Amino acid sequence: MIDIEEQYEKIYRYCYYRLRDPQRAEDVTQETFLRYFASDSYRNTGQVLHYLYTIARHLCVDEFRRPVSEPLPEALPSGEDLLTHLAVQAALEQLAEDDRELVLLRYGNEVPMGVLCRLYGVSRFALYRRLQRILKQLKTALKEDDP
Amino acid sequence: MNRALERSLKSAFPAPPPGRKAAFLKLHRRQELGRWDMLRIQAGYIRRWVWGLSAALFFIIAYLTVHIAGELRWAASALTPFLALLAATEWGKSRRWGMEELERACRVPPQRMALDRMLLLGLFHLALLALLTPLLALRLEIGAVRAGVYLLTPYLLTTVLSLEATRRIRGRECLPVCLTAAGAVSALGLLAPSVGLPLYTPEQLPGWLTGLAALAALTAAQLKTNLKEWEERKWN
Repeated sequence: MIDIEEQYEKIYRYCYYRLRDPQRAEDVTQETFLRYFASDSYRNTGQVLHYLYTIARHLCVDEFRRPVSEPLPEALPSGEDLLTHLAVQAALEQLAEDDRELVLLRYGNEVPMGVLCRLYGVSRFALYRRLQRILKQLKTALKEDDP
Repeated sequence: MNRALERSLKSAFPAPPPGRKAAFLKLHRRQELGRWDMLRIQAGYIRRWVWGLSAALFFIIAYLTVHIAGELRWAASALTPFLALLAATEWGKSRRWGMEELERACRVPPQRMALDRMLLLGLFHLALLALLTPLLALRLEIGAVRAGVYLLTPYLLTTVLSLEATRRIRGRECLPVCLTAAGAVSALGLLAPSVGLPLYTPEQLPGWLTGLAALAALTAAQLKTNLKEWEERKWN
């Protein structure tokens, strides 16, 4: 069983970062859920998250072919948090698109490792190593930013 | 450092709130079956005679525990395999009656339905065995741990054998095999003291405990294997 409301937010966030447009992200999110509601075969099988992210990913790829119309509007934190936030954002920008997507899924949306393994078609060990490499890369970037 | 970084990354992907979420969910949300709804529905699919026979067996075992002395005083332990047999008949029900195809066409996967039914029956049987434990412990003056182990071990042994039988033998042919397994385990427990096998002596308790732990692991492994095979046999 999944919490539809919670997953709606997470799928939307995933689409938003893929498409960088809130309207299109929400369109794709809704299309993803409509396809999920229409399919009984994946319901209650423990593979729902995998199914949702696979559909969202494919729809984002289709949608991404259209030009981006709006920049990313963000609600920024204040004070010291803002500095950390900006530093992390800058470090994330240095990552490859695929790696950034993985960080969003694993740490932003807290997608379980098992689901990610199926989504990327890799072993748990390979995924763990990839995440460790990305974290190391982020740490290096953050140290470089820190004078 | 990694933990702090992971926490920062959690909040590193802010997104503007989705504006159409409430309206969309209100329009399209379908009724999901909750855990308790599912258990309540599955409880209705367990046949009444299974509940009834389980309760009857409980009273028979309790009666024998109180009234029988001598070598047959271990009858309580020897009769629990038949409780396990009742649970096993529920597990293989759809296969025996050729209803697998129909169940596979349902919205809820059959393995989840079967697991829920086993959970309900297993908890019911555990509650019955828990009620029998102090009775057996007091009557035979053997302590609650020994009594619990003597009741649970034959139950799990029969469960493991029956699950193996339902996995290997399709259709109604598996029922006599399960019955034979339950009978054999029961006979072993019943006749062992008569033929001088020191099965219920305090010295054998470590062996019983080891056996119980092994059987619990085997039961879990059997359930997992059964479910995996079930999942692999996709309908459509």
